[in-house]
Amino acid sequence: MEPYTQLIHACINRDRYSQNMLYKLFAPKMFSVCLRYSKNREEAEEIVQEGFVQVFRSLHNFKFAGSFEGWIRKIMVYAAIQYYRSKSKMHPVINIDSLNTEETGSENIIAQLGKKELLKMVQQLPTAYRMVFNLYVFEGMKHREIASLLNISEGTSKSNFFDAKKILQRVVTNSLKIAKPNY
Amino acid sequence: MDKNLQDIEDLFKEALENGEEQLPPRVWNNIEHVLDKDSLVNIKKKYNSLKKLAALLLFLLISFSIYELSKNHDTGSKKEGDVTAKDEMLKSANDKMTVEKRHNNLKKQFDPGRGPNTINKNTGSKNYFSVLANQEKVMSKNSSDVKTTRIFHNNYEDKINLKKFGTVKDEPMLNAKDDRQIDIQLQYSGYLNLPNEKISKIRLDSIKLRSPLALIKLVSSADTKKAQEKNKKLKDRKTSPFSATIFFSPDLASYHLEDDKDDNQPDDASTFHKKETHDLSSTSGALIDYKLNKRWSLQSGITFSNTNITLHPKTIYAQVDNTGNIKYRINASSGYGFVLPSFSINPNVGDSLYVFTSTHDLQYIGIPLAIKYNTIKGNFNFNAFAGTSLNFLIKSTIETLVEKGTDNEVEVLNKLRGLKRIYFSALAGIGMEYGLNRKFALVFSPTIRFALNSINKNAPVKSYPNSFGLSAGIKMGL
Repeated sequence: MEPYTQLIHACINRDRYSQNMLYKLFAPKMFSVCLRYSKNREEAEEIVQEGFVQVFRSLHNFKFAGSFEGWIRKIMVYAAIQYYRSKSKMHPVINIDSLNTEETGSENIIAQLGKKELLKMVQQLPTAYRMVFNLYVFEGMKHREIASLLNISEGTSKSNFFDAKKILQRVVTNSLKIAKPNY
Repeated sequence: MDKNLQDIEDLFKEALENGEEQLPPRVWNNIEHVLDKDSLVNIKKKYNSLKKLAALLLFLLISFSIYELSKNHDTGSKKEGDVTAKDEMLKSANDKMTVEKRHNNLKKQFDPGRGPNTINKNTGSKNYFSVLANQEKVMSKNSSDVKTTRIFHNNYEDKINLKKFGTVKDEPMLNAKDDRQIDIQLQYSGYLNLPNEKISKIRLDSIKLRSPLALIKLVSSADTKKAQEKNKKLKDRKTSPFSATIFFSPDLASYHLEDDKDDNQPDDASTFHKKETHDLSSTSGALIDYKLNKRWSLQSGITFSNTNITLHPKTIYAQVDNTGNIKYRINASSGYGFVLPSFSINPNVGDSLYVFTSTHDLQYIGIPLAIKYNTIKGNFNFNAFAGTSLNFLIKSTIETLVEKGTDNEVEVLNKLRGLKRIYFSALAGIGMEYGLNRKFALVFSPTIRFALNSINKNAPVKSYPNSFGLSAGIKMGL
């Protein structure tokens, strides 16, 4: 039984108080998701806003079959994809080879960097790379699914993911050396 | 490259998977704004659906009216002629012999070899006696304009229409020989235009002619010109069962208030009675009457009502609203709303403001259904009616003036909370109609309306509005 059943039904009936309750319950988590898909906080706010509007509009379609949080998250991801699809084409404009590549021997790399810094690194990825990286790593989607969702080929999805990884590796390396990425 | 960097996606996943970030309040405000717009769109969609339904009903109504009119046009009017015809027929019948005697005479005339008891009327015996029997029915019944006289004849078959004195359709078919019966439709009003002696001739003499064609010729020989004139007059008198009324009614509105025990607001029914005054309200609309019979009719249509209430000056207090924000709450008998003047951005719960006289406006679209009893006296139609109405909220506003030192600020609440979208009301009244001519009539009708259920919920009080209106309008026959 979905723990939010009553709340969901109240939201379906357009009870504003319940809608606000639902928003307060899930907005922080969803904002965190949207931050990874966006370039900055402002864009993430717009995505969250659009995502929650979609949630309230399509709440009557929720079948109470799976996780409600997962359902909302999926809507947020689609909202993010739609947001960038409407803004511009998601083609990367970066030359991977031009990036500085230096290796590091640190064993606890992530621990040395804050979460905010890591988030910023993801946000700085080109949109197409960021989308593929997020969908593959955080949503656990296959390249075939990502290709279908983003309307690209499976090869492009794999290539984008590989490039995104490469960029992040180099940025992390540079960050550890307290150096700015030069893209 | 370090192993950690090779599996860098796992490191990012671990670090960013379950994060939470706080959003600024403006995001929810924007969402709420969009949801408000959605609600408006939904309401508009609902009204569009209602409009479509109303249009469909109107279309059906018009179609039915046209059908009724065309039906009446075909068959002619009978209303005023009926009594005369009946009387004349009965008089004619009583002048010479009873129906039974005539039957016996005819039986002897057409079938002298058979006794009266040998004729079986129920089985539709094939002789001219059937003609007389049916015609007697025509003369003694007034149920419709056209009566079919069935002649059982061995030689002819067709349906002959004697409308307008002898207009014979498919006359060539008349000569086609067949062993089946023949139906003749006699226009009832047509008899009225014939002299009495011709009526008797039709009834008696025509039967002696052993041919339906002879009967047709006999009727055709009547004075058609004179008859057509009279017929036209009779047709002009026919009326459709539908009529439309457009009206306007200034209303004296009031309400019955009950304390809502579930609401924790300090304002109660007695407070609102003291602090609110009803202004002149109004109801207008268009109504359609459908006449069921001479006395009874059904009435429906669409009404628009506007109720104005003045809220006297008072102090309002800051409270937490439904979204968790602190704003100043204005209570009215029908609902409540929150205002946040620009000069008071971050009030605390319990902070107060003084508001001057406010105006409260409620608008509803109503769909009434009433039954009406009519009594006609000359040009006057006196009636009494009672029914119910389904009322849809279309607007609820409060406009108020908030005190801000010497510079006051106007606040407008466009949507009151706590109001139901629909409520039922009952209506009753008496009316008087004065017929200007056959088409138009002036209508005057004092009407009372009162709510059957409260117009609000989760509000400080439960409000049951009622009103007394003097509606005046014009009625048009369709």
